[in-house]
Amino acid sequence: MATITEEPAATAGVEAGEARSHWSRAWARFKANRLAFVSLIFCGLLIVTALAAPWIAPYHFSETDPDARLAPLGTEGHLLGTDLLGRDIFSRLIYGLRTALFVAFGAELASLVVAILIGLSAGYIGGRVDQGLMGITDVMYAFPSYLFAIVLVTVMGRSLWAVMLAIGISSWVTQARLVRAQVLTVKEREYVEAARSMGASGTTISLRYILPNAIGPLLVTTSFAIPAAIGAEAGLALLGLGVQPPTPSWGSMISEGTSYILAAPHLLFLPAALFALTLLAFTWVGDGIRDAFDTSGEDR
Amino acid sequence: MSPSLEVEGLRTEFGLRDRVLRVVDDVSFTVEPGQALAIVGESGSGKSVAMRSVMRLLPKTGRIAGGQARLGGTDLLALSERQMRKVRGRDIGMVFQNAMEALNPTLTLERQLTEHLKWHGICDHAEAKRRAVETLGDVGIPEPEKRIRTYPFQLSGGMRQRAMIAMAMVTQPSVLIADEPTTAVDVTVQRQLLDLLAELKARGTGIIMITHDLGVARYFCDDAMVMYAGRVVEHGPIRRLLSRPAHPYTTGLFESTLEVGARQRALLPIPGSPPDLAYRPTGCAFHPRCGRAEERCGREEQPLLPWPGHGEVDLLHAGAGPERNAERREVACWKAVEHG
Repeated sequence: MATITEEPAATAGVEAGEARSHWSRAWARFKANRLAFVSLIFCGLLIVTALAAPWIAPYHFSETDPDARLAPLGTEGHLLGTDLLGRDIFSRLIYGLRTALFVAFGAELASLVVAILIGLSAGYIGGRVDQGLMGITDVMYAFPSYLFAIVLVTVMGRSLWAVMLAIGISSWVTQARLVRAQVLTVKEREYVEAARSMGASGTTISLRYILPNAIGPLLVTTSFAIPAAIGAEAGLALLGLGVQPPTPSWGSMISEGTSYILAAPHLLFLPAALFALTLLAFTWVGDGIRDAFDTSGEDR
Repeated sequence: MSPSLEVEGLRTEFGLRDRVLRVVDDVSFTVEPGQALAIVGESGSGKSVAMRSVMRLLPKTGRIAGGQARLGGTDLLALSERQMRKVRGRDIGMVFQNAMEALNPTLTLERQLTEHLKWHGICDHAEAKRRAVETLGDVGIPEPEKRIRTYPFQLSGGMRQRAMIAMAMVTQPSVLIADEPTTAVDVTVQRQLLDLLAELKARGTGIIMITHDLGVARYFCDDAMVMYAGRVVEHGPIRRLLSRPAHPYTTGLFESTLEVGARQRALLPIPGSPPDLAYRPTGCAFHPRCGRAEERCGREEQPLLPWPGHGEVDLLHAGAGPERNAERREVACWKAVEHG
């Protein structure tokens, strides 16, 4: 239409010829955060190590060396020493990492899927469905998670899956509540009504208009839930509710280490230190993600 | 020839915990192709709810209690939700007040401008994209081929508003409902938007504009409908309504509006505020705020009656040629009807 004068003010992003979604802007902010970025690299290394554990670890986690029991740090062939049965600490730490990450990511992924399904249905459909689903969620919330874990592990045995399930079940509840709260906010946004006014179906609205706009905070809580799950796995193992030995877990290694704190302090300190470092790194990554998505004070 | 939208006796109710509020009460109007109707009133007068009733986009507590809304012979209020979904966006488009909020921040313009063309099965993606680029150009967005790949937050407020209008226009609906399209934008952008709507109107789209700004309404609307507390208090050609308002509320609205470039006059705000519909005043709902109210006003309901307009001089149109047939004016005030 010729009557409309062109607007001279073009926005910077377009001038540069690139269309940047808010994901890529969040990534740019994340990269600018040095602590978070270094932590991310560290976490990346941990993940690669965990995946490649059979190739990196010099020994199998249950392989014993009867000639070198309780070997100190720096022993030839066992750089980080051995435990009471002569098993290589370095290898056990790596396999313990594998256990921790497998359980944490598995549990959080499963709880994320469940939380999105339940939270989205409850928030979007509302009414009776909301009441029913949130009722179940509240019951689950009130249930002590360690008690639940004990029951599960007792019933299912001390398998990886049982531990994963025990942690995931205590985690989806808060996530589902968050999804629901987010959906309730986003649902009232004008673009949702605009989509409806253009003839969008309920499925389109919930999946293309509500979910992508509701998921940001969920990503943040998930990034904090992962270190929490790593901690929970170690905690269950410490209590003897973790994965079945000889599969190593940092929690059981720490628990064993306490018995030999004077004779072989590295048995306690090495897994404890690695555990602390890992938790810290994942938490800092979570912090970075939270800050990257925090757009307050910025024009969206 | 696109069909006209005829709304008759529309009633919308909201169910509260213990009672029912009638938010829209017996509202009737017609929008013909290429015509524009302004719906004027304070916040809470029911103008937006009336339009959302026509679109069948009421919140869960809302219910259409009666009336018809015919678009080319089909009563929209009788359609199933599935059928109605096909009407929305295809036959009736809607433009929202807040452009900053009315575009999905996670989708590019391309997605947002082409998706509904595909939902409605109007065309395939290639054709939809071609149309979207063309429409973006039409609404005055420079370099539309490039802009279509951007996200809403990369556009200025004015461009976003225009992108939103483009979104409603791209399906070429017969009726466009604009809910206070100019309230949230700069005056310079406002003018561009109005030009755009005027152009759409010239192409044969029927336009309904919800506004509380009479200056904006006068810019291109043919008719005006003034609403108060859910009812129509005055309805007629906008020029005549402006040159000589019949209802005291309309007069009040005019006197409380600041007009740039007009001769200086005192702004006279209407005293009080619109009534809480749960405690609707008896008789004429406006009488507690009306300077000319008499005892009868609080006693008798005021139906919408034809207004003869005795001695009316069309200040804006004095000496103009033959007017349209639709010169009929209606007002819901016995004093205006009896004393002209």
